Amino acid sequence: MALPRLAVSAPSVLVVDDYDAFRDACTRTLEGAGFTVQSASTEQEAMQKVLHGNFDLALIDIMLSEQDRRGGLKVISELRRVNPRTKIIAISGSHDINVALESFRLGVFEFLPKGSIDLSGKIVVAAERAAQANDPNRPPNEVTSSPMRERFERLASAWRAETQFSSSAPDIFMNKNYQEIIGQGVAIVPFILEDLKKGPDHWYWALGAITGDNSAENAPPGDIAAISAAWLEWGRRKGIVR
Amino acid sequence: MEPKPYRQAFPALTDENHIETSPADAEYNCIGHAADSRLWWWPGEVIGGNHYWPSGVAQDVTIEAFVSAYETVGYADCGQDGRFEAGFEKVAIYARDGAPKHAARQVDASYWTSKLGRTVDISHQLEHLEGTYYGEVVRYLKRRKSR
Repeated sequence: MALPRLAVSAPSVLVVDDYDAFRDACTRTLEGAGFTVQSASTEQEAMQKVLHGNFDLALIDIMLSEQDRRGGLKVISELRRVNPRTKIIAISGSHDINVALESFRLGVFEFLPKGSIDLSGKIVVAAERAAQANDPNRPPNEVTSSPMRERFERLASAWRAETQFSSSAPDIFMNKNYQEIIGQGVAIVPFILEDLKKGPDHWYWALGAITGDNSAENAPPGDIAAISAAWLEWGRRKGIVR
Repeated sequence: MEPKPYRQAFPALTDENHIETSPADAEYNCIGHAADSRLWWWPGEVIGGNHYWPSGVAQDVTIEAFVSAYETVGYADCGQDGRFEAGFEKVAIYARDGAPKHAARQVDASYWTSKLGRTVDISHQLEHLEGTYYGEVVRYLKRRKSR
């Protein structure tokens, strides 16, 4: 499928990834969508480009080498310092929720898991939204991501509407909106927990599926309040919710 | 005023033939409510938590497994007999395509009580919840009322 080209003047993008094939594919995809792209394969090269470039957007892989699995976070931090107006899209193959959380704390615009279906399409959509976003004064430490929040709220609302009258576990948990929430990966966990703070609900399947944890295994079976409380306590221990 | 979503899902309900008896609550479901429980009853494995299902009952979404689940709290299968009997309470199991979808508990000669998924409890007549969502009533169980 041909991707639509940007209607606005070509924004500049920095693509940072140590994996040549992925970096080249992102570069081609973004150039094809109308962006001007520079790329870097190491933390050091990325830091140099951050210092000497003026990018509208940056697409940054968190794990830039086997030795430093969080090098991308340092690049994000430096980019926020040098040019807080640059919109950052973090990508990661990690399933560590703290990586997503730290990215949001650093003020990334979007967080995309590398295992996503149609990642290149999602990157272009995220880049287009970032390029067109007009929120340069957004606080860098805000634990939020507007596109992810909007996506969560849209999917959660559709899930509730479609399953609210059901008692059936398959109907509730195999619902396409619920599955799409799970498909967002660790980046969506803060939004699930934020929703859970409003009251007990059936988020335990999603939280268990995404994190691989089973924090509620000691909660009484069928006690949704206790199961929800156990997951919130897990979130507090991890520093995700207060 | 916009009609409540459950009125759109169950169009046979009217202002005159049912009454809402609780606020929305995601903590218990219809299967538990019919058994007078505040737990979420459903068979099968769950990720990230556990639903309640009586010990020793098959973890199957079948009418027979649901009948067995209610037998653990004193109910006995009474087939297609949903008539009101003084001194007894009854449970009605709704199913669609052979799979249980809902249960209601008899309140008196006129009304049954149902929990509608993660939303409200209502008192109603059985036929008014039959249809797309819950299918049809396929089985009744009864037990003697405790004094």
